[in-house]
Amino acid sequence: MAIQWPLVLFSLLAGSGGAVMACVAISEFRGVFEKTNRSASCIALVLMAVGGFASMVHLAHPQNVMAAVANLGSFSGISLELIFLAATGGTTLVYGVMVFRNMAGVTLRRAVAGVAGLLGVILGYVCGHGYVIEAQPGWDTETLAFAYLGTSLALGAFIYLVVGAMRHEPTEEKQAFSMVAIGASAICLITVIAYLLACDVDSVSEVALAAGVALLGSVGALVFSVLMKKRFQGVLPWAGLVCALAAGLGLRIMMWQLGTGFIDFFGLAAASPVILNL
Amino acid sequence: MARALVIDLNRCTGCDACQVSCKMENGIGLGDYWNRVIAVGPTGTHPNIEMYWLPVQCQQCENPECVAVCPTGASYRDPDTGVVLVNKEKCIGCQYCMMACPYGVRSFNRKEGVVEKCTLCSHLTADGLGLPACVEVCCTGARFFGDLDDPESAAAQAVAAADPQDIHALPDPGNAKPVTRYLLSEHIATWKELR
Repeated sequence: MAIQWPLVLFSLLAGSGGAVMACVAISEFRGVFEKTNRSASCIALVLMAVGGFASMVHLAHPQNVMAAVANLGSFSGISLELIFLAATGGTTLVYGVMVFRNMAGVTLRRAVAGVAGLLGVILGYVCGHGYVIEAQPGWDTETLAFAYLGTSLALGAFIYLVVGAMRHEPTEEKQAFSMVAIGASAICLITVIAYLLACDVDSVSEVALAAGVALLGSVGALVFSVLMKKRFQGVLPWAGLVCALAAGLGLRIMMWQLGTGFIDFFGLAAASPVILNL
Repeated sequence: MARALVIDLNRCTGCDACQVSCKMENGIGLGDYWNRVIAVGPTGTHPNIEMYWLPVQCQQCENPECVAVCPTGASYRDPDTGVVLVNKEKCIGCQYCMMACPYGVRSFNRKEGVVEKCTLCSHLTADGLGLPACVEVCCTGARFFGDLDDPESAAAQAVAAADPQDIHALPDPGNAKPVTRYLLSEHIATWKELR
């Protein structure tokens, strides 16, 4: 199946935006990174908005999204994505207004950040869950949804640390937060490996490049997060971000390459109207 | 009610008349199809070589995954006829149903921005009297249409007349339950499980 780039971008950007909010929530509860949280909430909102627009490009006409919005009750994969995108985006917006205008106390701010972070994590999962369908043997495993979540978490954690580095947060705090990046990168690596083992890959060679990028990106992200924990340097979150981005892209490209269908009759017929390979 | 096609592969010669008539009746664009005829084989070694033709189109599944994934309800299974249809007014062109179809027998109409598929010529058969164009033109009488739950229908009678071991369905990836039936006798060719 052809790689649907708008959907690749949607799941990666929206999922990582949600993960950034999970990092904001963690920092809120730890009472650190106030400057970073302001900027990161804006970036999360932008990521989710751009991701949402990317998904609209996939439709026959972008305005058709209104029909999907009008049918949220169908609880189809797209509906769930829209519900959690809107819920995470809305909560993030509320959090952003609160921190920029100093409108709420710490408890309320933490509560809103916590809700946004939780919704953001769920968003990363549902972005992959919609693809778990029996007609696509290469996708029909819940490990795919968890791999979507894992790669989103790793990318979100590194985006957050890059913002932290740019906002000149105390080095020891950034070093401490590297534990979150280590956790996210470990989840990323485990879930990517789990998907590689679980998916019905007939020919590894066909997806070897994308699978290799996903795997190496996950390993790289974990390595750089561990290095950050040992000694934080400005370049490390950027390097981790590049690796996490590669992991996320590699996983999604591989998924589309594995989308060969259960039996794609019209696809087979387009190539050759004769099935010889029995 | 479960309106569907029964296709006798013992008779099918792969003439493609069903394919052509479908395109003409439904005004299907260049390069798009709602049904296709695929040659399965030849297999075996000389002199024991066999092959058969497999016309494929929507299998009118009982539990269509294409319907389950549709975010707007555009894809639906008509409760009165059991035919899986697309309401073009509601279709947003997301193509999730194409990904969810186990048999890859849906087409995306780029001009209209909607997904299309075999309707069993519902515009001709809604009154219960007409026949789908592909059935009408089949020059070997290999295609039967009707309600499989109605013993009087041509489709049900074709199935009833066949040896039970000659009645086949496309492999089911899970719980889709394709309704379309194929008839193929061992003396013509061995049914191939295509997965």
